[in-house]
Amino acid sequence: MTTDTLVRGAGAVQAARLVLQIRYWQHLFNELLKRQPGRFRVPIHCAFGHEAVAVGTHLAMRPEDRLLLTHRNMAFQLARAGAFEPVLLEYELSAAGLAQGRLGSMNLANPERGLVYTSSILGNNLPVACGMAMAHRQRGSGARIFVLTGDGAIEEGAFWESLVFAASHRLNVIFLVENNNHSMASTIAERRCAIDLEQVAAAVGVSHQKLVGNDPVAYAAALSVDGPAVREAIVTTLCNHAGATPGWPADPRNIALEKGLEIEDSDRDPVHVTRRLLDVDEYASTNRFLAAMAAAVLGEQKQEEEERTCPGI
Amino acid sequence: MPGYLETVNRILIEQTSRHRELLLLGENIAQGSRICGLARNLTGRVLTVGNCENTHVGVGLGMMMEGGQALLVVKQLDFLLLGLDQMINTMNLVRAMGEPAGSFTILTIVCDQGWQGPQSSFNDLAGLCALGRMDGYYLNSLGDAELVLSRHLVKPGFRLIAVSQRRFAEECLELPVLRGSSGESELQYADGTDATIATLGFSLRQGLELSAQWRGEGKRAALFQLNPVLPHDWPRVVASAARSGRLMLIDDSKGSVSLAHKVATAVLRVAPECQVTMQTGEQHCQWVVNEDRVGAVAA
Repeated sequence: MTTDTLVRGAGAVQAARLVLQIRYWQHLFNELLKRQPGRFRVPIHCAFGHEAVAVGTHLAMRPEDRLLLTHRNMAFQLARAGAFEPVLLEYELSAAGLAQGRLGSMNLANPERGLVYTSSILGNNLPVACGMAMAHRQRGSGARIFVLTGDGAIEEGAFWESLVFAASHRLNVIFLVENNNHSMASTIAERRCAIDLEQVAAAVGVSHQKLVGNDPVAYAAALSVDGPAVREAIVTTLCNHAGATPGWPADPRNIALEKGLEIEDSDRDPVHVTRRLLDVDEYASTNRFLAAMAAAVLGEQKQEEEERTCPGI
Repeated sequence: MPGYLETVNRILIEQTSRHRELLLLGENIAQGSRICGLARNLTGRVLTVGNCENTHVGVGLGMMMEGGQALLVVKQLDFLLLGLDQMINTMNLVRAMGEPAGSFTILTIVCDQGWQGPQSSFNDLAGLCALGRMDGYYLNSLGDAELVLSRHLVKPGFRLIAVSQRRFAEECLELPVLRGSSGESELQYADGTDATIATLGFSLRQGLELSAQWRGEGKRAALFQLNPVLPHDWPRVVASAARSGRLMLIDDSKGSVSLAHKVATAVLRVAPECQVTMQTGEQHCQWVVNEDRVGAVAA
């Protein structure tokens, strides 16, 4: 699906469905984290609220493009994999997982889908992205290198170094900054001065655009550019930093699949925005379909749990 | 006899010119002295870059991961401390993802003349390599420079190669390598059964002087230069020391736990009666020697 078809309308429905699909899969992970503590041997960072950026990036990527991620990568992984189970098995470090259980969650890559590197170290993936862009330029592939980072990681020296490096050598790198106003528990105001990324980018002659509103179609269009470029997505992370989110400190949200896919009745929630992209029936039927699937999957899980707890029965 | 720097530069030009895809990058790589002359007359894809060593290392690794070939020339080994995150964290992940098709080599100068000041005197390549399970090579002679640069400069994967600035103005040791182990973890320069000398870092010249001194006393020593190459395995040195019963390890690095200790342990495990002596020191305008006896001491 290209950006053109998205804008024409038919693709917008598919984009919206994909947002719902990823939200649904994330709910499944969250439910498993709540119901089966200890099931996963790696830290799981759900990315509720990040679905529109993930889908927009996914749709903007061409076969030759590359994507480098950070520790909070679940929405992107699901978008690129297009499936729940390989990611689930990888989080369980199973040999049947997406990376044969070798990479876990915070380093999970999926090279067959262009997702070539994921780093758990803030800022670490930015220089690597520049190197990949250099390699692709040498071979004339025309690939765009999308590298995800955040409002916390841009405080690292590697961000500035890489931005200058990419600008100096006109590398085809798109720095995608997810600004969720948080670095773990601290807000931007609590930990540093404001950084005007538009001015930072302008200072080195790089284009900047803010992605606001959680419309995956608009995001895909904004990301379909040649680098060097900075794209700053304003994101609200609707879940806890890591692990299950039944409700987190100082936040009344209690995320549960049984309450439906939507978490917040505002445009801060990408699922809420999909209501405008899908007609009422489409939204309702997709939501019902996913909810039914969830009930089936989680029902099986519950049965497995009971069998494990009471092996004699 | 050509000088050490001139020799390394000549071999570098020969080897890099054979690889048209190789990107040569570095700060001042094509300006001024061309990194103290090390990068003089390099041709092909030469890229001058800004002052951001962490990014340079990440760029090289990124190129390697996408099948490219990169050589980063760095003025001082201590500059690379800024790239530790990439050398350790990124490489750990690269290993987990499988062998890369591309190649990345860092060629760096160890500032060991003794007058740079405390901050710039870091000379422990082996210690740096140990942090990230990286392969490293010291260029001491014409023989090892030809061997290492021809075999490892664009080999798939990542490694560091170091040259010694205190040797720049000296004549190059034109010693042929008699034999080496796979991967060049140990290079043998002389045969002998009365003693074994193994040098680390840039102390091959000290090893040669000691060997000549012992020859004057009627003893012939086997002489080796060791490199921090994984797996840490020195079968020829261990066999030689077990046979001769005497091992002198010479290491000019300032690391507190040097590769020499590992070698000593490997030898003493096989030959507990071997007399192992470790000579360490640092070059502060003159060779300051500290000798430690390790393990058994001959009666």
